[in-house]
Amino acid sequence: MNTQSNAMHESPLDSQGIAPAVVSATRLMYWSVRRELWENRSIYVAPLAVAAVYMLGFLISLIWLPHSMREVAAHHPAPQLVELAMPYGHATWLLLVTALLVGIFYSLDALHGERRDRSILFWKSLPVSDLTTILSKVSIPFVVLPLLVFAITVILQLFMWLLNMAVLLVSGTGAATLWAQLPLFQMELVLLYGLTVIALWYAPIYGWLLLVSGWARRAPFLWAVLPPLAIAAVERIAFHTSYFGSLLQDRLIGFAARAFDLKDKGGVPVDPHFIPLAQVAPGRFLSSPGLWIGLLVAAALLAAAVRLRRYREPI
Amino acid sequence: MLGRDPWSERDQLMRDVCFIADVAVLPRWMRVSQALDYVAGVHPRFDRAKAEGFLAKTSIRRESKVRELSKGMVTQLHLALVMAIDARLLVLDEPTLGLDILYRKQFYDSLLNDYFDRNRTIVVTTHQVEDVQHVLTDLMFINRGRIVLDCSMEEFESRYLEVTVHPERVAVARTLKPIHERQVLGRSILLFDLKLDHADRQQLAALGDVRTPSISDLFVAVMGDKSGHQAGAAQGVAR
Repeated sequence: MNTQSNAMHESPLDSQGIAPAVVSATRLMYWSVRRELWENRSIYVAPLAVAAVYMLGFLISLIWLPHSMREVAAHHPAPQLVELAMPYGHATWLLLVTALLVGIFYSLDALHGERRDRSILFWKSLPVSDLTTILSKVSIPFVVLPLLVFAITVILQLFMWLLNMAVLLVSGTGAATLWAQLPLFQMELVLLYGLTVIALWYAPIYGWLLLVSGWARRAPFLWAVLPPLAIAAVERIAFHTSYFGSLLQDRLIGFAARAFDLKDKGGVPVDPHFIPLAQVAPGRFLSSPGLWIGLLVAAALLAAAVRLRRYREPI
Repeated sequence: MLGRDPWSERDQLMRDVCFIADVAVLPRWMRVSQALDYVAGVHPRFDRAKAEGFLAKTSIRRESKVRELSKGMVTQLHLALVMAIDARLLVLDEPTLGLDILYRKQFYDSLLNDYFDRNRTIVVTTHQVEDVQHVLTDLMFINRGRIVLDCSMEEFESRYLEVTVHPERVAVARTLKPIHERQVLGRSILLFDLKLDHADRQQLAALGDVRTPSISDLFVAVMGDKSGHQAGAAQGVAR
């Protein structure tokens, strides 16, 4: 009836032995991740917006920069470094927290939203396995967000540095200090290390959030948060111990003491605005049992989420 | 199903099977172009040019989001995606739910004209049986998971007869054990199952106007009696 259908009728379709038409696993993964980015634009919009707002604030702060540089120059070298690094450190922390929040809310919605809007029936009608789907979803907080935050932070800090230099060169004070003192490259290396550490350490948290998202019929946030808190509270009341509570606390902040030397050689606590490369402790982090137990738990939670999605239907 | 476990091997199975659950499952945030990109990306047997060809015949714009399309357009989009997939089995589960008669007709027309050929099987489950009467090759009624009727359409046409009985012959007709009787505008319409051998075609033709019943009338006859039959069976066991 038309050219398309004619073409279709001419091509012989051997219904018994169709040639093995397979899409490579990488390509399935690529399209699955792209689909996540289409649906959840907040993954990149939120960090970009935060970076833009921060940039605006930074631009305004440039007015006082020559004045504060003169004050910095009057101090000793060490605090000078921290003060120089302060706005850069703030930018990093702000973007880290943004990525964390985006990752949490993304994970909680990832397997809940598709059941709520019934689109799971469409996704399941395509030859994409539950394993690929879950892996693509966990890759967002585990890989995509850290890389995105790294890229945005590097670009933001580079712009900040260029603007800093420009203003200081024009005003004629402190450009040399900034040039000599601010180890931008080192800061980015530490950031990359920190992002890797946090992603690995938080893996079981994201695994848990995804599992709850695939399991809960409603209010996945409450299901994810309240049971662990309840267990900690019951333990405290019933046994006057707080093992579970400490476990939770360790999972939330325990990466810092493992992956970084929080005090320098002189025993002075490191300022979180600027962590020198000398303070990273990858050996200790990689050899801590907590990391590997966490990764095993994450794998188990994700396997459960894969298994669960097989039987999930719209809610 | 086709030699694969639909639970654990769903991804491999879905290369050969297409499935439309109903019209409301396309993700509402998705753009038409994204849907095309995505299916082309993940489905080895998807022919993008063919899908574009189907869409060209509709008023669907590439940059529209699914939520901006009307129900009929969403169906057209979903159908365009599915018909461009070279699959052996197409399963349509209530594909026309919520569509008006114009779209329903369009839906089945394009399904037959553009998609159906010798090597494909299409399974349609629907409550709107009148739409598909002239399309089917085989017919099955399912009541609470049990198959209560399973026959080819040829068998259906030779087996069931509907007679609009002349009022004075109703009593005679009833002795021939119709499986169902209904009143339309004061006239009795009786449905007979010729396989039960209570009557033959000539006998019935003498009683009034004879014709092949519609699937929906047979559906009412078969399903409508079901609860009564079950109750009767239960009583029999109790005695």
